[in-house]
Amino acid sequence: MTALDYLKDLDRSVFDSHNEQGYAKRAQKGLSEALVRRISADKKEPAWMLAYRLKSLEKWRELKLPTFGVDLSPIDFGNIIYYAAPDEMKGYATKWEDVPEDIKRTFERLGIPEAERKVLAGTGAQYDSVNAYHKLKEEWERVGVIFEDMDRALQKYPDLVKRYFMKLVPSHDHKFAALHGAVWSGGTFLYIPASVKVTAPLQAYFRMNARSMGQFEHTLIIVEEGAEGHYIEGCSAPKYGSTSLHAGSVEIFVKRGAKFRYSSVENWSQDTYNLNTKRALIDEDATMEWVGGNLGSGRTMLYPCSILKGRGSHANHLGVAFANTGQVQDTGARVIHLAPDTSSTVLAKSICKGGGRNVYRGLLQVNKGATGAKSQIRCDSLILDALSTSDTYPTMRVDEDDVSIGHEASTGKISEEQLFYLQSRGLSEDEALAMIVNGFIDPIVKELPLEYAVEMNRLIEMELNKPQRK
Amino acid sequence: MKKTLKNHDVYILPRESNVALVVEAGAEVWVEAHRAVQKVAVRLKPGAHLRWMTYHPGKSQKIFTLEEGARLEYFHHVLGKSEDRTEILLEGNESSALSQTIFFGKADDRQTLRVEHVHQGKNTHSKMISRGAVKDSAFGRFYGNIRMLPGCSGANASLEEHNLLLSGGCKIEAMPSLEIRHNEVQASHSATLEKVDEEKLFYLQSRGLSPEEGLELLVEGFFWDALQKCPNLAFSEQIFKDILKCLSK
Repeated sequence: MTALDYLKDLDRSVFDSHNEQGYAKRAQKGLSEALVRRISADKKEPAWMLAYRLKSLEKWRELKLPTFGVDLSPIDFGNIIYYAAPDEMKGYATKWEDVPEDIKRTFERLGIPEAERKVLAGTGAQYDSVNAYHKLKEEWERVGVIFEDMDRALQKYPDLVKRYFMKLVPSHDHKFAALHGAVWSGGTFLYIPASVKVTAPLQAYFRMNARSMGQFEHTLIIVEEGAEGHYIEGCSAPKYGSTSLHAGSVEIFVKRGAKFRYSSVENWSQDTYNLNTKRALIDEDATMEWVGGNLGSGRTMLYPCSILKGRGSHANHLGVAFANTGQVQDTGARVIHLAPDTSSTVLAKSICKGGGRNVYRGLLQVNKGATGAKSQIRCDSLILDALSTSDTYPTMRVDEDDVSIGHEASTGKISEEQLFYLQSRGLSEDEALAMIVNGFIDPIVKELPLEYAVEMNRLIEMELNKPQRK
Repeated sequence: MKKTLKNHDVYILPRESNVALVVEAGAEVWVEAHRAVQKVAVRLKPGAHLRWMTYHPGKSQKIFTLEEGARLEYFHHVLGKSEDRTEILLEGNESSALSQTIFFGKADDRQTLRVEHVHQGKNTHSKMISRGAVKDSAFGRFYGNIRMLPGCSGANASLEEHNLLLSGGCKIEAMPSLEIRHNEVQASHSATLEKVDEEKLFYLQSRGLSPEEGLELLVEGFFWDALQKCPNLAFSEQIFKDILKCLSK
């Protein structure tokens, strides 16, 4: 089997199907102090973490739902499973053979081990609340790279975790950050020591399996001075017809002169509310790149944020969003320039069809003192039929005169001429449409590793062809 | 107050709190307003052509409704404190609108300007332009929005926003948004925020201009294209003189 074979048969049903799991049926719904204490006790966490969880729970009770973006009022917080761990998983496996059979089958269908063998430096796979598998290739372990499940990292490196944990996305930030602080479980911890350049990407795959599940994985990445790395995240969940909630948190610290790329393809099922918070703090002369695809989930609110703290730092945001029937993709990029000579670029592309709704909601802020800041923002959207809608709300706030900022956006439909031309060359209308759409998102897709790029293109083709299949 | 405007009318808007105007079908009319009028509602009957020029700070709210084939050219100039909201509804098919806002803020001026173009009719065209400069500790905010409602096939709109920051303490907030509810349309926007180009300033000084003269020339360059679009040249010249006065203070 070649690296791409599993993608040839890629089918939405692969993501939408689920395993019958007894544990999930027994899992408790709703959020209480007792549950938070149980999670902490289960994981044998230090006292400070329990205290942080309880403080976050308080905050969650105080804070109101956000008033912008998508309507979150249908979320029934009392009907969500906040913590579910498959019975047979006592700690994660480091050998693929040791992963429980059911779970192994799911990840094999999703192509996880295959991808690892071919291209990756390390892999993690999370199933509901806990990690099933985590593995880092020895050559990277030897030079001091740490790639761990977040729960395990807290046990093994408590001081390191304590120094950075929820410092960028504190629990008082917003209601879902508070919820995350209270019930977070699993996720990835990545530490790249100074001057180490990890040449192959590291990958984690997050899978929600249980019905009405909430997944709250925490990803903490520290890239020390002069180091380089690339981390990829894939996400999916089965379709049940009842609300699932994903409120993960990603914190990335890019130290002086370091370079880091974070890629994600989020393909949750349409039952899912995807309310992720991703933030990076970028030091002097460091570079942070975000590459993201948002395809699944019924409601998405996701705005990766770069804080350019050090002089000469740079952030690069690339994003694709696809909204199909019943979906609202409220996405965007936030960039905050705090230091002189910082620069940023944002390229956002969105496609909507079948009544889907796309919203680009961006923020560009240049604070006093960030002299010589430069930023270029471009957001384009493609509307494929009369039912779909697209909104663009870019906010630019500038408190400094020595800046140069440009913003461009366009919205429109596919040109009939292009379609006609491709059809005259022998392509069917569907093929022609897929070709134009693939061309439209190409600048972003080509930044993804091959497997992900193929997956993204295939997923978009699948979305495009949906009504014809019914 | 209610008033119907006929062909070739030149109308100076009185200082009143509420004004409702109707421009007769096929009429070509100029309206000038030198003072802030709190609320204005204007209806352009089919084929009417209205040129509207305002030059005032203060607080105001305006709604223009365009019937079939009507045409609006709207020029709004703001110096000093201001809070303004303008809505242009392209209700009839084939109607078109150009709106241009020029603002200049100094000292501790707070300027909040909102302009919205709503496309409802088929084959409607609109263009929104904004050029603003701020200095001292002024804070300028321009919120431009283009909304395309379902059914407005063939609509075409663009939004252009350019801002110039003239000193360290000033602030600009720009939010050029698009709300598109239909697919048979084209919409685009672009925005820039920048300071006076040091290189250009240096070049002008090397040609013998003082830094103040050089700055004046660059600010003139920034505004002049836009000011020239205004059909009443005396009007634009007066505004430009006032901008230069503010600049040298």
